[in-house]
Amino acid sequence: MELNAEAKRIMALSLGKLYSSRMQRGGMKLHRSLQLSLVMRSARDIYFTAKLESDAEAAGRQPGAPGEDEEVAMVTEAVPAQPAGQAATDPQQSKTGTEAHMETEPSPERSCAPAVTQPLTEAPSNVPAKTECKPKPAQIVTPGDKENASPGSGSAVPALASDRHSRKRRGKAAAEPEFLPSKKPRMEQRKRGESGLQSGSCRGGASLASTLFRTIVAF
Amino acid sequence: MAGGGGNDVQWCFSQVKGAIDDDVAEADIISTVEFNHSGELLATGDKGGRVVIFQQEPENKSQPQCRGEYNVYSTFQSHEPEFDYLKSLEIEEKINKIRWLPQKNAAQFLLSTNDKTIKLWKISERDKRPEGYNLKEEDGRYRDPTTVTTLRVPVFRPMDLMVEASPRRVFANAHTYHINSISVNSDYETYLSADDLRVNLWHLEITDRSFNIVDIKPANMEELTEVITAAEFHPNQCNTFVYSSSKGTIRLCDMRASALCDKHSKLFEEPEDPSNRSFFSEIISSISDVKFSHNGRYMMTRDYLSVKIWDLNMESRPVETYQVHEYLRSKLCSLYENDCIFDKFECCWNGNDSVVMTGSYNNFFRMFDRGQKKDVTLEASRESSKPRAVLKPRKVCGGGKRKKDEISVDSLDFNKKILHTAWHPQENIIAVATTNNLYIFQDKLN
Repeated sequence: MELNAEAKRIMALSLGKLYSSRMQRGGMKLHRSLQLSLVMRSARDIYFTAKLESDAEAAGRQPGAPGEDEEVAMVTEAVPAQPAGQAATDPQQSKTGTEAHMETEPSPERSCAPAVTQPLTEAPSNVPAKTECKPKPAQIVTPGDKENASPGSGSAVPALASDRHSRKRRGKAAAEPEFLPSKKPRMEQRKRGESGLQSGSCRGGASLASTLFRTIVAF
Repeated sequence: MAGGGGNDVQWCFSQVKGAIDDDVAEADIISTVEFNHSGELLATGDKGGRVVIFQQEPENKSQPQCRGEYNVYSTFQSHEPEFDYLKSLEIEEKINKIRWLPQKNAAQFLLSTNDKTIKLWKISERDKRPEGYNLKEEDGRYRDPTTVTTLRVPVFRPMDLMVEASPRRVFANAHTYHINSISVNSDYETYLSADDLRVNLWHLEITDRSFNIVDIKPANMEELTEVITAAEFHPNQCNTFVYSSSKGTIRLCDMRASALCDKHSKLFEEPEDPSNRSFFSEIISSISDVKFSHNGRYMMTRDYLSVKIWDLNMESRPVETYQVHEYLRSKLCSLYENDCIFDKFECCWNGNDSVVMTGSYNNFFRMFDRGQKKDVTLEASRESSKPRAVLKPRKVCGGGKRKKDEISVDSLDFNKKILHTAWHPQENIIAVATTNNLYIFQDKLN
């Protein structure tokens, strides 16, 4: 799972850079923010693809067994699928370069959907053939599924926040990376913790990317 | 070794400007370097918002083999830090670009810009002053009128040369995003300024309005996929300009086609080499600089790892590609961690477009001789700063066994980067900016 670890590490790194860029003199640079979001998207893609593959393998080895123990956590509902539905219902999240991308994100099969509970880490440098890591075509999930998707999802939570709050973190989800400012609003911390890569990844990823873009736009 | 012209050029140290100590004050970090059209003046801008202009001393008749030295001619504070109250953002005073105007009279004019505001500066010399006022003392104090008993006519007397810089125009409030380029048009009446999403056209005489000629801002910012990274006017076609993007494309636009040049006339893009695909390949393809050749037939682009020369008549791929530091391709992850992957390197042509130059890390800079297909790596360091000392070519060992005199990739100092270089328009004199020092090298004259 080196690939995964790398992907998570890079995502965490990127988030840290994004946050610190807010503090720098002169304000956030649009170009830098865009580049960071591109890297995050790549890391996310790789992470999910790797997850898919590993889960498929695991499923193959032991039919019926959950993908990865601790990470299965969210799973089941976890399914990423949401993004499509989510995006459809959430105007804010609609098309971003990455959003659109996410809508066709691979939704791993429910049963073996990896629960990405790990906080972001990085992606391997120079992952060869990004194309290999491209998510498989997604199964568009209807909004209805969203509700089933995450246990303890704060359905009442508004658009952006919802997908972030949707799931409680489980598994060995590490403590939030130290570099992240502690005074950030809970929303954002939670999001980070979930690394938006929860399983659905897509969903989390969607929220992640949309947050990024929102951050950029806010500037 | 690479050089301009047919013979091998040997580069020698000429001068170094700036503080010697290793403790670099942030305000002293050089952010732009530019020769004027004759090469007599060399301007630098720094992070502290100051502009320093060096002037080349006239050649010494008794020493025809030595080119004149560059000495400080004028120093002034171009931009100050500002605050955008609406957005609660500080606006940095760092000078992003300086561009000289062609000289029309005794005074010199240049444009300098920070993230938001462009200023036109007039630099003029004063070597005479009026003396002999009736109502004022020489030091300016007013005389008691009752003590005036005779009248005299003030006369001009020579004085020590004084160089004055005064802001003649301030072009403000036209950019929402950060200005990355300015370029003077060959009509010498207009110029363009570019930020992340827009390019504006100005008239040098008019400060209260500009024309927006390129706007790539999407209706929904969340759809943003690329930004403008550099823009430049064609050197002799006043209707043509190019702008580069973070996706590695260059668009050539013709202002005669329409008022808004969102539709390009030409799109220069090289298909990505799939074997080079990597996690960071999207961001290293971002173009950090674009420069037309002096003859206007080619343009050069710089991305993180290479320099590409494009023929304006061929959009499908560059005609030449030079690897600046290919050994970094396997280190992209580390370079991302230490933020070096975001460094924006510039590039420049020599006077006759036969050689191009760009910077790298460890205070190395590279020259590529297009005609001779040779390249060289040189270093700007205090160690090799003896007067007229010939620079020794350097070599970086990418991996494997390191030969004698080679430097291994892992021992490169990534804090020592050369982002800004400039080449004298006619001579083989180059100005290379390290973090806070300006090195001037010239070719060895026999």
